[in-house]
Amino acid sequence: MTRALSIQPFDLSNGTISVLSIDFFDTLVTRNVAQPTHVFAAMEKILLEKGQRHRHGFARIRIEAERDARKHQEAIDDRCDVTIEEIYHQLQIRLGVNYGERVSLMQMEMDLEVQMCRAVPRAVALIQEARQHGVRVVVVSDNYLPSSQLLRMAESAGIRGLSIEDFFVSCEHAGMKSNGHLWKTVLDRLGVEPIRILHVGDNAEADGVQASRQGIGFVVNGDMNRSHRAQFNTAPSVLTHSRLEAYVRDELCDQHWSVERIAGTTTVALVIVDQIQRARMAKQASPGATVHFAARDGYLSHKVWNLLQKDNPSMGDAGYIAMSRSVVWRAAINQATLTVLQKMIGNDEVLSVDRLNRRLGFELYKDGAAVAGDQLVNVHSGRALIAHNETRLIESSHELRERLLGYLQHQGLLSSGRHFIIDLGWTGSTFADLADLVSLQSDGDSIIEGIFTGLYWDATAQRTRLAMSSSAVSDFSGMWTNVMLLGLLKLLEALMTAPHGSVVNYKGIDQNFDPIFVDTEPEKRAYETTVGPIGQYAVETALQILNATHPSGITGADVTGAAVWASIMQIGHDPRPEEVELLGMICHVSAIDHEGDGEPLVRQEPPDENYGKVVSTLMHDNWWQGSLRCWQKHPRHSHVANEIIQSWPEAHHEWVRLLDSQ
Amino acid sequence: MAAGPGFYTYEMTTSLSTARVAVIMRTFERPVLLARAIASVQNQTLTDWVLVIVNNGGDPRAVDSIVKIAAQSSTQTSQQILVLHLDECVNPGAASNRGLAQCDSDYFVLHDDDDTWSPDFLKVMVNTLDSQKTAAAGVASSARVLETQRGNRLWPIHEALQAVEDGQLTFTSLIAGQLLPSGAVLLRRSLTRDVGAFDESIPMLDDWEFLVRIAEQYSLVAVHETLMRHHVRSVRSEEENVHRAPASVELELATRDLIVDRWLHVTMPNGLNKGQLAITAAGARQAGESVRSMENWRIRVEELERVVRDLQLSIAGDNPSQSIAHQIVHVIEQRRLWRRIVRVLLNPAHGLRAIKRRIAA
Repeated sequence: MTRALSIQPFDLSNGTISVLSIDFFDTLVTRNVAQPTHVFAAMEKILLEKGQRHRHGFARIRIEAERDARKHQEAIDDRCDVTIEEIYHQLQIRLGVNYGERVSLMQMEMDLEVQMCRAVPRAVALIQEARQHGVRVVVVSDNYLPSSQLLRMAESAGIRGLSIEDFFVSCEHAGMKSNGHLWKTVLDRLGVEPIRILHVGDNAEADGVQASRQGIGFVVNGDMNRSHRAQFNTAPSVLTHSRLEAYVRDELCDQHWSVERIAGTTTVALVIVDQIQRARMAKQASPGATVHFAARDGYLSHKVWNLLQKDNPSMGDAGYIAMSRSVVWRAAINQATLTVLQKMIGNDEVLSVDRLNRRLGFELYKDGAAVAGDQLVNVHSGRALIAHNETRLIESSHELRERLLGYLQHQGLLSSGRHFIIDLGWTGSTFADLADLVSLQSDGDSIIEGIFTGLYWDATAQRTRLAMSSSAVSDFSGMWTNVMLLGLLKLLEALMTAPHGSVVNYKGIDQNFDPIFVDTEPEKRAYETTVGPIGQYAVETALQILNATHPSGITGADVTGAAVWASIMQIGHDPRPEEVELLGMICHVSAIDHEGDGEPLVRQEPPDENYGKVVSTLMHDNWWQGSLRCWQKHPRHSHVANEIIQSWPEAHHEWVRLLDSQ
Repeated sequence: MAAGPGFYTYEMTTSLSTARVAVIMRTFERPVLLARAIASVQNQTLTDWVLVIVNNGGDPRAVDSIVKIAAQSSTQTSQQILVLHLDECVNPGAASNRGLAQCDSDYFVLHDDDDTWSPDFLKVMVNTLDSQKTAAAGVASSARVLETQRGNRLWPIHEALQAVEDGQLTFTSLIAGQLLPSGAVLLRRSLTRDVGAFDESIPMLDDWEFLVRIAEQYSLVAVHETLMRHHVRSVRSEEENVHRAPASVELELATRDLIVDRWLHVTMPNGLNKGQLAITAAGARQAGESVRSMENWRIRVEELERVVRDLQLSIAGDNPSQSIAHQIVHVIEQRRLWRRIVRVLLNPAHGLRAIKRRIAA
């Protein structure tokens, strides 16, 4: 018994039902992509691969052509649906192609629909059950494709026993399910009392409300359309993410939706695959070079590398270098400058001397005596106290530098030769500092190169100190792309992390300079409930992709920089409500000492500032899109979100359309 | 070997670097921008290129240090970076010629040290010229990026698309003064050898003058994809990094006059005087722009007149449809006011801010 039929009082076996009506897309069949418009992305990909570069943006234009056709149709007769011919007539106008090309493109779309079509197993089971009990099966669909095409697709998906007479398609019957007119036609043609028909579909209005108005019993189940995102986020680069998401959607049919599984199987897995592939390529280009995944962003990739290496020892070892931005920065302090003081205590911070001592790595003194640990200091008193202890600050920094160098020595980073460091990236400043330190210590014999997932404009300054490359997005990728990346950095850092906390120091020589991690409660909690499971799904998927065994058919060749960026954008810039709800609760701890409660990825309410400052705060401290989506739902804050989206084009979730226009 | 007044063709030496594309990058004391520009070349999906950096009289140590770091990148396998240090700053045309003399290639491009490319720039442009054998050059659409530089930090503040149109690439359009960002133009080397090298006698516009010579004999093809970013520093940048706009404009006008003066002594194969053609074409271009501008104003005035007419009709009430429209507007405004009041009641802080803004306005 399928979930759809488990809802009482419908039972196909007791003879009360004589016709089973079934919706077509997302009920009887689905596609191997996450949403219908991605078929057009597959078309665009094929056209571009054929060398037709002028077809860049085809998918977007195809969606626009359908909108045009619908507008025309509404003006003539709003009861009727459009046909694929009408859509391609509009497309012909937009593309400026001749009739022959129009027909050829239309045929290409219909052929692709057949190729990408899959049966939904529970619908197939339902049909079988219906036939066992002598119940007739018909397909009732709001669709621009003709019944002959739907029959072709059903047969290609392995659904047998349907004939052309069993299809009631809106574009052929001057009426739609969604406005009720098609239901009247169905009842007329079938000549069956409505009460003896059971309809199964995925749309509450068309398949539920309108069917019931005619007295038809219905079951609505939207499991198969849970993977939809914004229509216009359709481009060839999205296809890798889309196919993985479609795979998870099919797996989760009749089960609860899992944000962890989606995020792990798509974005996080793709970042891992990209990091591993690029590390392998760099190693091939420079035999003898060493590979190091940086904590904590590289934890998952390092795990996958080790698992792959078990089966393929020729890959060689890869290290896991435990360091953090704050530890490298603290190890380079030579003077208590204003910048140093500003970084040590933020403008809004009030903290105990105990915590400040831990942050500095030494005990603060005043008038020859240690300052009481429970005393609270603010930005002014705290900074004054640190300036007063400048000598100790510099000594502490030198000691940390010695321990850091000892650790780097143990990791092999001071030995002569080339060393690749793999990380998410963003500015590369930490690794540029590290490269300076290592180069100075090794007299230029040790060369560090950064292999990153993404870089934004602040990376440009580091290019004078560090050789680095990025795959998904770079500092010269365009302004809006850079802004969009900034808006989701915190999200990516929260997802791509390790079970351990940040490195704050290193042990002494007697303990091999082992790193000292500091765990925070919010991060531990997030790891146990959300981030850990995401990592597990990601590691499993990344291994399958790299071994070319993933059931979706996605292999390493599909994981390009553009595909990784598209996947990051699909979740980070066009999140679904359930993703905002779950991922938004994760807290990101960014204090220099990695203590405190951190900042939740989604800010529940807008700060009381002007819009420019609100945007700036979101970019620096939160997940931009997550927060905007959250505010949009709230009557008190929706006007702030809407105002920001109107004023900042890059805040709009339809990122493909935006970047196309850039 | 002299090829005409101010033009020089350098003889190739035997130990040249060869590649499909020669990228000539002239630089002077802009290490951060240079590092970014080199990275943009290294990021190309087509890897059969040679990059010639012509340090036009700047500090050699700074350039060497940047190139050393860039050359440490292992992600490109066939990359080749050559550096040519010039003892003193020469005119840009001379710097380009010296850079070109260092290598042989099918195509070449002048990449300014502050501009950047999309990863597919070379691939798309080379494919275009490979498939269109009669075209001497391909020109990509570009984006103009206004950015601020303070110290080593750079950040963009505005970006605007500059789509290239086929009409901009004709000889008449170019001689009329149509400028193109040099980094967006890939040139076929075999054809361009016929027209001579860059003019070394002019302080700027050498790339424009060169393109005019090319367009006189050959066709140029437009590539409508945005593949290049033309970066310009904003006035908020530190002084030494700001594009010196007033001086540049004056120098540009003076250089253009100098070039046109020279052309006045040149008779083209069709019997027309090149200088006179340039003056006429420039005049026509300016007139065209003025007409377009006037047309825009005319449309705006007509729109305003229509609005005023509608308003008068609506007030007079002699047009029922206008009267209804007026009432609808009134209802919408009433609703908007109520929404605002409710919003203020729900969130007094936002309301207070809105009132402050109104008062300030």
